[in-house]
Amino acid sequence: MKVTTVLIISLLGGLYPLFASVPTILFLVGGLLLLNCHKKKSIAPLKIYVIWVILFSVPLFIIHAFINPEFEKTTQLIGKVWIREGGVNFAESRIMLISFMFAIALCWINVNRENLIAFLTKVRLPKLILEIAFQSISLVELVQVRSKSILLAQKARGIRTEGNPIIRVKALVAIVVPLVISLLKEAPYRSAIQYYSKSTKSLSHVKGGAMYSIPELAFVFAIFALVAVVGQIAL
Amino acid sequence: MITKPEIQQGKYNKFKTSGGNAEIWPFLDHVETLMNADRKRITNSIAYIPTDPQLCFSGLWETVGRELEMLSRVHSFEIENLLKKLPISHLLERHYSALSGGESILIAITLGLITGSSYWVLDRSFEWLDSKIIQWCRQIFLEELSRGSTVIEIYRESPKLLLDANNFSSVLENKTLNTLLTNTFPDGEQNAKLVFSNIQASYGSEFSIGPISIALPIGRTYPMLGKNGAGKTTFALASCGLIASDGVSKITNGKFKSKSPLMCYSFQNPDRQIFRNTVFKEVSELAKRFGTYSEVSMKDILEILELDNELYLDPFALSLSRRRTVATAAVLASGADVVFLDEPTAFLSAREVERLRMALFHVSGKGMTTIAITHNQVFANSMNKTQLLMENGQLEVGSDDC
Repeated sequence: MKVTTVLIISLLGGLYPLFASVPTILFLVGGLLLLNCHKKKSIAPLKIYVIWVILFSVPLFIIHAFINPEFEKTTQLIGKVWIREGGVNFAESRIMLISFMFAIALCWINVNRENLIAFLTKVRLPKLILEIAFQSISLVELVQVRSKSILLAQKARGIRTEGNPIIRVKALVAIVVPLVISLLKEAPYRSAIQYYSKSTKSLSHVKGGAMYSIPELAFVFAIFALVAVVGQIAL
Repeated sequence: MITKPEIQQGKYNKFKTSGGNAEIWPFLDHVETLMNADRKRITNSIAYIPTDPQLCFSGLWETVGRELEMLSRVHSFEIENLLKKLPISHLLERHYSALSGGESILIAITLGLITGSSYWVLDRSFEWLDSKIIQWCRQIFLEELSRGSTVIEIYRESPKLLLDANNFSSVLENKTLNTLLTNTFPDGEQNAKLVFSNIQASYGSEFSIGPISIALPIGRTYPMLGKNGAGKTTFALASCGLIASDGVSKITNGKFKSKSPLMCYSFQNPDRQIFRNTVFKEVSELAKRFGTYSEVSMKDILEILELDNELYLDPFALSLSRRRTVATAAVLASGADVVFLDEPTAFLSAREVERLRMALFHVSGKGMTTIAITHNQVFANSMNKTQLLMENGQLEVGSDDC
């Protein structure tokens, strides 16, 4: 995926509260993923996205729209089954958030980090922002590599990771918990390496970067404006 | 506990560790104080190589070559000259997660060379390296010393005991252990063989192993030797079905009866394998999941490996060598038919290596086949005359009897 697409996603993240409506979000997210699929000549990311969103959305909707006693029963559907309108709205907002988060995560995973880093250094952002950006990019990579190694370890321990959605969700828990713990545990070692070597490797592109080109700047701002306008119209 | 060691500047300093991780922090602080007081220092950085060398990689770049190139750009370092000297050219196009343990150390040391650090802290870095690479590292550090650098190596106790201990008398204080080493090989399996047929696997187009087809009598421990990056770990992972492979592994007794063996793999880095919050839960989990849990065999393994006093401790509160032992205990107590141990002697003290040998003899006597990937030739020779040698993705069986 190109750097510009990532920038659009970042901007969408910032503008999210402006156009908090399901059709707009789904339209934009779906468009982004289709763009990604087109670039990669594969619909695999879109398939993953749809599966994961459905996997989380359906139980979320059922729990809040039909079961959650915090919301009042408003419409009787069949017999004892009541729809809770407040719950429907709540579930809708959460589904929106989840789908958006999945889309961002998928885009990050599919991004060519080298291009992104090259672009960020080219635009000569302040050092602090660059460092934060690089650290977060490297975190994505670390999480990806570590989750693969934990998946392998859990498979070696006899945990089933492939099969129906329930097995996959159970496997997800078995991966996410050790992932977070192991990343926290190794943090002191990583910071020690950074501190004692006094050379923040992530800043390696800062030297020798080119100036920001005006067309690129204009393009980014044009995209920003377009997204804002689409959001307002949708509202 | 190494707190304030006497470090000789411009020399190669060696410090023996008891195996703990926590002792490195005050040690590094002390080295930093020394470095700041050193007026002749070349740079103001310490090249710290931790026990897990993969922590040295930034994770920003797609290939190892890019990582080296970008760091050399920051430090205005001529990477081309270094690449001519180092045996790493075949690794440059790989992602860092596709490097073997030894190769990761090699690249981590190269990163340290690029930063031009005048102080080196090597935290048990040579555990996973083959002798050729250790020789190469020695040459590198001699050059570093000649330009005024200070090298500090933290090492574990050397397992020299093995050289004069063909029996276990040196560590057998507890006579009841003798009974645990008696052979109770399952009936009817004396002639059975573990057969790997057509095992092949690859990491993209850069690295591949096989096809490998061998047959080994079961109920023994086979050391697997080979230089760094030869494909030992890949073979183990492929045989266990943990990475995609075309081949099959089976146990056959020669009467056209065969079964798929229950296989288990212990990772090179124990921290990748331990997930539970007590030693007992960790050690017993695999056996419970496989449905092979037996209180007696669990007790035997824990006793032999001297974990019986640490059962309810958090594994991560233990030292690295104990965590290594916990990880090994978990697979040995699993009741699997075949167990792969990746560098089981790494980070262990001499006593722990002896205990490991006992545990391996114990499980072999019960019919378990273990394949121990190692660079420790002394350990390998003490386990079995029949050894497996991996070279360039091909496996050969070598034996004194051949």
